[in-house]
Amino acid sequence: MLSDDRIIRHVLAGRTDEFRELIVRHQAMVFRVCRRILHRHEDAEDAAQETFVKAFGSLSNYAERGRFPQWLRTIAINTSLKRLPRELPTELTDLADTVTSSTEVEVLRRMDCQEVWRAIDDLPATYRTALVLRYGEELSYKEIGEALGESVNVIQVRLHRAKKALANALAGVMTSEV
Amino acid sequence: MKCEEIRENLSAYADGELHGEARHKVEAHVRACPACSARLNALLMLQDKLREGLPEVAQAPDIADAVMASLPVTERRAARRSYWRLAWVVPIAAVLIALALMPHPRVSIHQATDRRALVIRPTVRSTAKVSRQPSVRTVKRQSPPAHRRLVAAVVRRKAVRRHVAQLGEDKPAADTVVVTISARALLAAAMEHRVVNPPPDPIVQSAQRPEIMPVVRVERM
Repeated sequence: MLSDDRIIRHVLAGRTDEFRELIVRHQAMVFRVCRRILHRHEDAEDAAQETFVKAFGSLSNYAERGRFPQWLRTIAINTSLKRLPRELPTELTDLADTVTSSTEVEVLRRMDCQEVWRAIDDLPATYRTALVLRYGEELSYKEIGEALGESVNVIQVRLHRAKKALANALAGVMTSEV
Repeated sequence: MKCEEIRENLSAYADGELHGEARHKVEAHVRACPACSARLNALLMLQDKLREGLPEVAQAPDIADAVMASLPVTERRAARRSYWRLAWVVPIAAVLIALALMPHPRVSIHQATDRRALVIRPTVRSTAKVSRQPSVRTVKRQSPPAHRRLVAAVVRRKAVRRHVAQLGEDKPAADTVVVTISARALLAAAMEHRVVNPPPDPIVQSAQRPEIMPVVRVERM
């Protein structure tokens, strides 16, 4: 099987139909990333298509030898983020620890996993994206930083605050249910 | 170390993203601080929930046909022939090189007996012949300003007339001199209003022929 880089060289040399092979190989990953950031299936499909079209147009700029999936994923993330509806600017400051650790543990014990993810959907897009990339795509802080164009320190702080915001949101959900 | 400082790093520690001294500090603090230890436990439980409860993504649709069909023809060509993007440089470079290799224009100045304005016209004199004209060298050697070079060239009109005769041209009239100067010198002189506005003309003054005015001939060699 030809490597991604070899196929890219073929495409750039004029065998553009071979680009189809790259789509077949990576469309599941691209769609999954888009779907985790975007809520609707149709939006994710559109974003996935747009990702490949953009990748084709920028193929001559691809210089990360052996890292085509990562390069493609970055395009998918940024394409999906651009499709998110504009949110009012959220003040992404550190929240106070309004929930004690024991309360948080109790909430998490009683809460279904899907409920936790539903609570993430209500977080600001910046937090949501960081959590999705970390726990949905299992990316390292460095990979998230590369994809979002941020430093590792920024990602560390962002995830710290995102988890705190999530804990507060979960406590709020639990309180409203009670 | 204070708990606040430790808690800023607890999330990264729980994610296995803390290294070196920072990691050791957190570990030592958590062992001694029940509150931070409880916080770490809560974080680890949250992360477990997030990993376990990851919503399944529906089967990815096959988008290969749609993507291939949506690639614009021009874009497909662009990807294939991206190196042609700079092709327009070639003819422009060729023209610039050709212009650079062309011989420099020079100017012949005839002094005529009438007071007509300057006449500038191209001639067909060959490069080799004109480049040997002594007046050309004379003009180039003179120091600025340019109109003084014109004067110097006219003063040597006898040599010029002799040279013109050697070239096989019609012998200029007795009251006509022919000099050759560079186009740059002519332009400089014109900018100083010495040639464009003839009187008072230094050429005329130096030749002591008030009735004689210059006729300038531009030639491309």
